[in-house]
Amino acid sequence: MEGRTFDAQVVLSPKSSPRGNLMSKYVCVRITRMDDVDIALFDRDWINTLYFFILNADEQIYLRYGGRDARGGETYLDLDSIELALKQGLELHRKFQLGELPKTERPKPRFAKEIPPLVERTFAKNQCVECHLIGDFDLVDREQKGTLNKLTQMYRWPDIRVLGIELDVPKGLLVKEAKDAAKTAGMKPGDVIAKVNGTSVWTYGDLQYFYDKVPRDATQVNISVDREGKQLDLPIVLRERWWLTDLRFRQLSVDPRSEFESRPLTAVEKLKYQLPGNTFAAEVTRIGGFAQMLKVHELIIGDIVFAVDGVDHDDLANTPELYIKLRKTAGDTVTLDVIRDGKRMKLPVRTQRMYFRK
Amino acid sequence: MRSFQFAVLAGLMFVVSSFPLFADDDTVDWLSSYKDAIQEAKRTQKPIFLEYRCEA
Repeated sequence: MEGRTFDAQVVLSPKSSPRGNLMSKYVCVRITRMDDVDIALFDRDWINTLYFFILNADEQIYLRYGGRDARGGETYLDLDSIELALKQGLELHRKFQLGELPKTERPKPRFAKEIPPLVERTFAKNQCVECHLIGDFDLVDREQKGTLNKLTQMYRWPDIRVLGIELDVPKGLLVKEAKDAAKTAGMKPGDVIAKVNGTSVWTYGDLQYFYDKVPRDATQVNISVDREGKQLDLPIVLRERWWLTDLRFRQLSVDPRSEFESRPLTAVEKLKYQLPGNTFAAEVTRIGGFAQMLKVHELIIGDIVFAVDGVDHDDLANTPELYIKLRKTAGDTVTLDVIRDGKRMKLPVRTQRMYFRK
Repeated sequence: MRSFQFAVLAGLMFVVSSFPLFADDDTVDWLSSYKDAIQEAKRTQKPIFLEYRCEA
């Protein structure tokens, strides 16, 4: 359901409806300005314009509701699943009041006003501190301070579908389909995801939040599922670059855009082009829409790119554009080594820094 | 038709966000202050259902 419609449906829930009845057991609060929000406590995927938390008066968060993937902002918004979350929140609150729920540690408070480039862009101009600006300028601030970790901060919110998990969205964390690594680990349709590396999760928002906490060099994630009254621990093997997601919809300032996509060459193809086996050489498969307009590069589909600024391999990157994203700064000009029609040449790429949403 | 629906929804959302305390006989009551919500949760012993909505 489209976010604006979903918002209206939730906010205007009739008291007499099942959802409204559940909500009447809560103190409901709707915040539309992020100026004074503790962004450490309420950390989330800031690209979402709509997000919910269920917590208590001690500011202990019971669960999160929201989150998205590359398919769209509304993928995981559903009136049935938010009703499930509301029911779960009441149960967790009951347990908390009975002393059955352990207290969680509150993170050190942090506010939008502590991010200098965000202050310059919003507070100083009396402009709204939009959610996506918090996420974006936090990264810009880290980039300026030299503390940006692109693996954990630019590539936040890895996609659970990489594991082979497809959820039955209206039913919360019920697994609709388990493929690939999830299936190999024993996950089945009908399972209900209960824990990520030992931490309880109740919603997709929770799952996304705690899956993001998995160290990027991990080779396994433990997902516990409820099945027929029992809880099973399923160690799921993480494939190489499991954290890699499509960043295009995020429009991050720190993401160097090179306006081309490529596919890694096979070992046989590398031999054919007399390239080392460990190179990230790749064939250009797509030219971005802005490549010509912004004079980013003169690559054409079918070009073989085998080095960036003289570097042809990397511990993490398997393509030249991923190498650029991870190792270069947005706005950098780099030189590619390219094979076209059997001839070797050098071509510049003026990477782009996104600004237009600011 | 779609733009009409959008306009109606936008109007509704404007009404919702224009009042510090949205209360209607038929719909759920919403506070617009986080601090007030914490105080109310302490007073009533209820949990808090918190929505963050960026409307820009």
